[in-house]
Amino acid sequence: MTGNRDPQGTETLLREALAQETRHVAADAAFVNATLDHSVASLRKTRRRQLALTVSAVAAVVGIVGWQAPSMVDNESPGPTRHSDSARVDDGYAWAQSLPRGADADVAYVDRGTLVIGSKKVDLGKQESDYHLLGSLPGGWLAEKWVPGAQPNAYAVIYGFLSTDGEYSPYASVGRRIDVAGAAVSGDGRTVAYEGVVVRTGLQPNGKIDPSAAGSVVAHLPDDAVEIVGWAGGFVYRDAQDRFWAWSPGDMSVEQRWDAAVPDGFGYTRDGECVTVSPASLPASASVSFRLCGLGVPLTVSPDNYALMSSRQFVNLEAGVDFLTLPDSVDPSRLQQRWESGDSVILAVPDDTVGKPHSVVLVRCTVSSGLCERASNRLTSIPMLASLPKS
Amino acid sequence: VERDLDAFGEFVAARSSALLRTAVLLAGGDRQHGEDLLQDAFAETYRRWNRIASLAASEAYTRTILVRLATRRWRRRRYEPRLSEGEVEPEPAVVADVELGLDVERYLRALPARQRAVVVLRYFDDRTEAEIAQLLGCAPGTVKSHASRALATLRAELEHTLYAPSEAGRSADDRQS
Repeated sequence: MTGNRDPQGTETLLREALAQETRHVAADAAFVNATLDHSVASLRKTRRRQLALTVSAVAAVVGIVGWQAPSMVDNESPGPTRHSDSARVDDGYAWAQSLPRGADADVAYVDRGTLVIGSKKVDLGKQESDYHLLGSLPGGWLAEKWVPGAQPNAYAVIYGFLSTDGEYSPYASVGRRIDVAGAAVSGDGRTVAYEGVVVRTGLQPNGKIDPSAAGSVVAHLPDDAVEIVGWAGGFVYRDAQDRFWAWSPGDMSVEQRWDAAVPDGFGYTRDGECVTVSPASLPASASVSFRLCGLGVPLTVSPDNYALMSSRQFVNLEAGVDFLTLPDSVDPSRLQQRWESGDSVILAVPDDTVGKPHSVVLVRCTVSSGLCERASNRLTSIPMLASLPKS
Repeated sequence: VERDLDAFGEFVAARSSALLRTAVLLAGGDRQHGEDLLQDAFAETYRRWNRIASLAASEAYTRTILVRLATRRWRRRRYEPRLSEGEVEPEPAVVADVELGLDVERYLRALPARQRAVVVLRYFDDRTEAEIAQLLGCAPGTVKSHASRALATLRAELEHTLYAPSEAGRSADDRQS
């Protein structure tokens, strides 16, 4: 059976198929000449744009001087930066490094064997396994543990509970479907969904997780689920036709009228330059939605529906106004984002310099002030950010 | 003053074919789209030509831009309006690869953009997970995750190709004999 094809056989076949697919692809002289023409024309266009930007930036600085906040923490750095006055920085990492240093980010991640929880660090010991924090629970996180296998590029993925002490308690691997991507934690922290199953977390009446009571399967996701995309009163999943559904164990799935999903149970429909962002709707849930135009692609909504970050800017949903526009060099859709609170979001800005080892710096942008600051020193890996544990 | 166009031209002429193969795969087998992506990546390289120290660095830079443009463009495409009722979606120019039992274009186009990029970079360009993570600006674990999902899809696609009724289809037993 093909389904039992060994991993290396599948990978070998894929390599051969990709090579074969492109064996007749070659660039001819016409393509090279067209490329040179295009490159020269693009450079001239960029120069014209830069000239125009220089003029407008001078005008912007004149307007900003009046309100800029005083320096906060780092005497060597300039004051918190309003994005609009750094729009000419052409390197996102340089922009991040230029920001003043603020407090450590109130997020959690695993960085090279160390569990970082805000400003606290927990040594996970010397081990080859890698952990990804997927969702916060009382006293820890739903986490993936990646264990290297005997073959190159082969890993076993084990889901379980990683406590703030660094103890890992795997869940049972009964009835899993590895073709279902994503994971989510229910709002009450009692269940988690991953790989097609919903399992108990072992949450006790005293509000603490008992790992020994965790892992039993409560339900299986509907067969058509291919990706778990969040929680919004029920688990939200995507099917193979790119339709989105909200579902709770024991209930029928409810289709969501979204064109695409946003993390944390939101989605949106597009109408030309406008989008309508709404949480997943279940029969018992309240309906709230935001219609916004000229925003680009919505990326994330803050807790309490206070703010929205899109591929172009941040919007204060209460006030209905944008409060931040990132520099052109920073593409938010490429950055990990994690809300610390309804008022501040952490962005992981990587160093894009080719040939340099991994590095990333965390940046905090605050809705109420419209200011950004550095929230970490340089990290030498690109960790997966998670919220702090639920209290 | 144009920047060292001769040297840039030599670079483009020398590396276009290799990069075009990657670009076409990143574009899901769409040659025209792949050429557009590569031209934009070369244009961005030319914009920074004076800052790039060596030919090897130039290729690495172009490849980085290429991957980012590919994942970005496909993401945008995904949000284009869906076909209205009655409209017929054009058939992709799919050529089934009977010999290997894998329809590469269909497989690549079925993958989300970043999974597709991971597949191309890992199994065509032979990049390490760390390099791919850097190219995509994500965690190495995310690369593992994308690769794992993409291989699961591949196995399902192989099931479909080998066992779906087809005029030209052959059973797995036939193929192995």
